[in-house]
Amino acid sequence: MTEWDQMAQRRAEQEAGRFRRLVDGLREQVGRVIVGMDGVIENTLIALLAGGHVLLEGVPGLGKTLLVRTLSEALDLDFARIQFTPDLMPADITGTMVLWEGPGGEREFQFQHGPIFGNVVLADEVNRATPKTQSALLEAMQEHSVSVAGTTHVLDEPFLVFATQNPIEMEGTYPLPEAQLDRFLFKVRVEFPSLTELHEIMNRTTGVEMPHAEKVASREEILSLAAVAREVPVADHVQQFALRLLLATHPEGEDAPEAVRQFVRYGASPRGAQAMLLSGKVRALMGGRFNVAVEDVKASALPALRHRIGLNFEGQAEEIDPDDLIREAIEGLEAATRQDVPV
Amino acid sequence: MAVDASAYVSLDAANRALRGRLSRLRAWVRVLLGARLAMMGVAVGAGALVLLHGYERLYGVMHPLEDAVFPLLVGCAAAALVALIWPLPDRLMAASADRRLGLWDRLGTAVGLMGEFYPSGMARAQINDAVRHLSELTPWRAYPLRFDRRAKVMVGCLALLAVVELAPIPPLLLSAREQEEQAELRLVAQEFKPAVEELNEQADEAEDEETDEAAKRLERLTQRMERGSVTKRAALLELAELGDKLDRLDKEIKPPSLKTARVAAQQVGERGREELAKRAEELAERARKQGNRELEKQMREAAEKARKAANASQMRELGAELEQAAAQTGTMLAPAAVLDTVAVAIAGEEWDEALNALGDLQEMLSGDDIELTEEQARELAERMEELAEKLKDTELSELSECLKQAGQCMRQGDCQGAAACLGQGTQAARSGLGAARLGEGVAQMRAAADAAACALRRPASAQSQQSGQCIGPDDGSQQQIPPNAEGSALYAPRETPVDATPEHVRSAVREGGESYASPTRGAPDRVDESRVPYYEVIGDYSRAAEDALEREEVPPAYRGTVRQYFESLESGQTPAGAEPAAGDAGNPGASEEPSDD
Repeated sequence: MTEWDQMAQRRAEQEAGRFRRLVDGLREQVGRVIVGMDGVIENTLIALLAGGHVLLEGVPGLGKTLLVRTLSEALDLDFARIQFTPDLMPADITGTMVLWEGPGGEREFQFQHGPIFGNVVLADEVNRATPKTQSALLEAMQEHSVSVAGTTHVLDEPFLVFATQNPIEMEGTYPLPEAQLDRFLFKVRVEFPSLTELHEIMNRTTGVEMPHAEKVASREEILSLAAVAREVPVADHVQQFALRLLLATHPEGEDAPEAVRQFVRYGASPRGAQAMLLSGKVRALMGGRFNVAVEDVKASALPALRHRIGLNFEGQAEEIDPDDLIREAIEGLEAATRQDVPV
Repeated sequence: MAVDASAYVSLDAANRALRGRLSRLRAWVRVLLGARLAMMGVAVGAGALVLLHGYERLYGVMHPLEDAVFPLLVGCAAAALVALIWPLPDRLMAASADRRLGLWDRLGTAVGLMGEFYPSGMARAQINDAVRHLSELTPWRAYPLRFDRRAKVMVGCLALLAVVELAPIPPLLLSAREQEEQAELRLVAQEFKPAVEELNEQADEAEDEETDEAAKRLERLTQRMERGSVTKRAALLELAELGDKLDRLDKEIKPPSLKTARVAAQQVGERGREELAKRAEELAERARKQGNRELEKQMREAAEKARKAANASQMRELGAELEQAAAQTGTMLAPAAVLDTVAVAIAGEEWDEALNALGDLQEMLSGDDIELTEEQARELAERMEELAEKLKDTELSELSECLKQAGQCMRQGDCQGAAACLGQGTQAARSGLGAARLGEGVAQMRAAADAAACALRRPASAQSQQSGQCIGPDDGSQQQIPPNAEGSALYAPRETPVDATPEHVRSAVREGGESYASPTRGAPDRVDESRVPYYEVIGDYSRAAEDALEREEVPPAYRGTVRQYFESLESGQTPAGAEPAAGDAGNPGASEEPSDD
């Protein structure tokens, strides 16, 4: 082994150690403010370090907005919040050209940046806006840029959209279009807190001092660690598992369970597999490993695929939960791909 | 940046460590796989044997398997072979170990990364991480020994097999007649057990595999009969089959009888005794001249004893006594004295003694310090040639030839050559003797099997009285109808109510193939009724029929019909296409129940 090889290996190990320390620090800081929601915090951190956007779904008042705000505080990133309403216009998000008058009386149009120009953008109640407004996020989320009046404005990295939405069945909401949903790395469901957690929330929020998160990492650190995560190797059989799982969500897929064939109109897009593997890499580093395991893929499958599966009429009528379909696909696939010797 | 090289493992070292550990894991998995497959095989084999043996024991329609252990061993060997060639690549082993030990695909990923031409820093870190976790990869931890469902099934099947093999047939499943038969079987088994055990010991000594197997089979059958774990019918069939096998063995061995050798040696034995007596008298005379009265008296007594010596050991003792006496008188006992012992041993059928004595002589002659006078050498040569002449045309002709050559060597003063000839002769005689013993053993076993079969064929009443004679096929050997035997008339054919001519013709074929016929008084189906269940004789009759078919005494066109007839009898059915023979046209019972008389 040459010295250079040793250095490369050591650097990788050091960066992985730094990665874990950062995640531990973030968890601690977020945990000072947010009570419970371990799974939500975990998935949010993973999406953050994988450079993906997150759709948080839950009824109002569960702390979705607080979570995102706390995260941005801990990371020292620019935080912007957009409250989506039915009358919100695309320009209210991206920004618009305004007539600007200089000290000498000269006038010119200047681009006034919208709230999308932040590092962490909270799109609160995103499904309350009309599809036209929702689509204003499309380019920003995918390309990390905004085009206004023929000019493309590049967004600062990292650029992360944390959208919250109320359950679809609530009144006054517009379901997000499939193309929009596909751009979210994860869709995370925020569950109602337990009694113990509610007690803790009350204790923290009704006292004199309100807890605050402290800065743990800088913007540059986040960017470099996100790049480290992408270096984590994925074994062939793990990648194979992820891809077969993706295809198992398609009704015409070879490994698709019966329920998928019956209730699904379309399965997850390739972005779903990207999401599983990328988040798997982050999970591996968070777990102190240098490789993605099948378990990582399985852990990421639900948040990465649930919003990418489109139910058919029968599935909607039967109120089928995509999570159940994914679990069934995982079980079937595990049995089919289990590599073991017959002893 | 300074790097501590000791903290890092080179890719080659990591590769070796990983592959080595996976190899150990693979070896362990092969052992477990072999055991697992063998367990399945044994379970299946034992289950099949349970069914077969159970059916055979309850209905007695099948021949018991000769050795249940053999197919099980073959199954185990096949399992070991399959386990040995079962494909277990590194990737599979690594993935399996990852899953079983909760290693989060560390090993599987590392095995994949090992194949990369130039792994990145992160990939190297991953391989290093996998190597660090190798300590957790102990084969028995990944694949622990478990008493799982397959093992339980196997144990259950073996237990069932043991029950079927060893436990007596429950009386509930037996009719009154069958219970009576079981009692008969026990009686016969107890009668023959000591003889069978002795035969088994003899067969062990003979060191012949087939004879040993036959003896063991006979012993096993006796044990089963004693335990009541075999039906009478199955026992008879087994005995018949065993008899066939022993016949075959007997033909294959063709042992020398040693009868003529024994007769020839009688004269030599007399000569041997006389010669030894003469030597004793010579020594007595020498002792007298030396004034040693006591030795003289002792030698005269020895001479008397030599003339009356009954066996080789007495001769040997006398020889030793004479040798001491010769030493006291300052002479040496002639080596030819050994041949006196050989002659008496052959005459007394003490073959081992004879060959041992020849061995002693060979050893004496091959020694470096042997010094014989011309007279002693001549005497030895003469005695050798004399013995050779006597054994010339007997079964020990090979020994005779060697003795003759040894005698010629002795005449030329070549002691070493004579010793070599004696060695060859002793070896040839030993192998001939072994074959003879084997043949005798086989003959004894055949006799025991016949006797057991014969005892089983006796009617129950005669069984208890131990006085009945054997009833069996009319093959002209030992089977005869007891004059006043009271049989159970279980399968008696119906009498034909016709007043036929009170004569019938019995025909048979002699050994040379010549047929003959003899008129006999009385119609055969009116004189006697069958007293023996047909299955007791069906084995003999079907065998006789097969022999007849083989000898082409039956026209080819009728062979199929004959075979079909006997097969139908064994399965207890009337043959569909079998027409009764012309001679049986007026005897409907003849086609249903073959009588033994």
